[in-house]
Amino acid sequence: MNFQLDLHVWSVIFSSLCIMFGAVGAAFAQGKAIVAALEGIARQPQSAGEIRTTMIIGLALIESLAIYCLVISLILLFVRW
Amino acid sequence: MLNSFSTVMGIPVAGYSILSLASGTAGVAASGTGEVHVEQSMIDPAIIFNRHWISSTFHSVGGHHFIVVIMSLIIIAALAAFLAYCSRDLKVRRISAGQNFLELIYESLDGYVVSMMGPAGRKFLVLIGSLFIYILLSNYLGLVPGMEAPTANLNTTLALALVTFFSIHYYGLKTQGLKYLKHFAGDVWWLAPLMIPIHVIGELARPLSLSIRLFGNIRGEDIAICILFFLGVKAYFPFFHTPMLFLACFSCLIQALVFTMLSMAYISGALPHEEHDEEGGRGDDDKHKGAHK
Repeated sequence: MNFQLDLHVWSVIFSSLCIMFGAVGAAFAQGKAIVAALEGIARQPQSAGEIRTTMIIGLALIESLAIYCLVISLILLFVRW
Repeated sequence: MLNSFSTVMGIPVAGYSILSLASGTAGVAASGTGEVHVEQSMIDPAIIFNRHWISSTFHSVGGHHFIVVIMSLIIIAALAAFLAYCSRDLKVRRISAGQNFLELIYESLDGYVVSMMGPAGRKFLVLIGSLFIYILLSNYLGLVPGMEAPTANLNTTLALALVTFFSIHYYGLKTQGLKYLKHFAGDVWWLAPLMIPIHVIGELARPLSLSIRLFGNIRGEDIAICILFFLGVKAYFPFFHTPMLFLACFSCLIQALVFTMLSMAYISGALPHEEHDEEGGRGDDDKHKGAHK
């Protein structure tokens, strides 16, 4: 493999890697959060509203990290290197 | 490839691009290496975001086309016209359909704010409800062909987040006075040199995360829809982006909800509360307080 690739190609490769790791981490974290929230709702259905609002806030905070990865990968893609 | 495709689609190449970053990355990369030549420029979103119809219709002012400002003004004008039309004759009995619709919106927003902040948070209904309606409409405007979401630009979302940021500290100082500033020093005085920078950084990270979350979500969705649409055009099957549109309809609502929900959590964290537990940092504290009635 030729390692003297162009800078554009490196930016495409690393932007895809960036969004990949961001999506994987955020997916696992959101899965854990949703599992915990669903268990809580199944145990106490009367507190479903509070659990849901807290879960959505937590999901937003987790997802913001994936969005940071998305923004960085977009910058890597669209900047004229 | 780039030129022929863009002339087929009727979209000029050079000019306006997202994030005010320069354009034409993938096309240059395609012509530079030769391996990835065929399909890359086709799914180059720089083509799509390069030039808007506004920028080719109207003259630029100082090199700017103010697409986002025009889109915001469209939303504001439509909202003002709609509200003026619906609230032209308000009655108590035998209300009109417009007033009924406005009352539906008001009551649902009121229930939303009260469920998050308690009855004391009803005075923030004006702020939160305005933010919600504006963000929701601007998210949905991005799904209309020919339009661009104002919230898909970092300037708009940063302005909205700064409104939240200043209202947090304004209401914190107004309701608690100097006691609000004492929160920044932490609980024990000898940790204050450590806690004050941490709290200041935490406060400054709030508008950053609020704005970048909204911007990244909406812009990412738009780019995904554009890429799928152009793939479908290339494959003579222009429905590739249809499931993404449904997902975007859902996600626009979620993003508006999340923005206002976090704003309410931050604002109610700055307000004085009766049961004051000394545990945990302020960042964790106010989220629990926000969800707590």
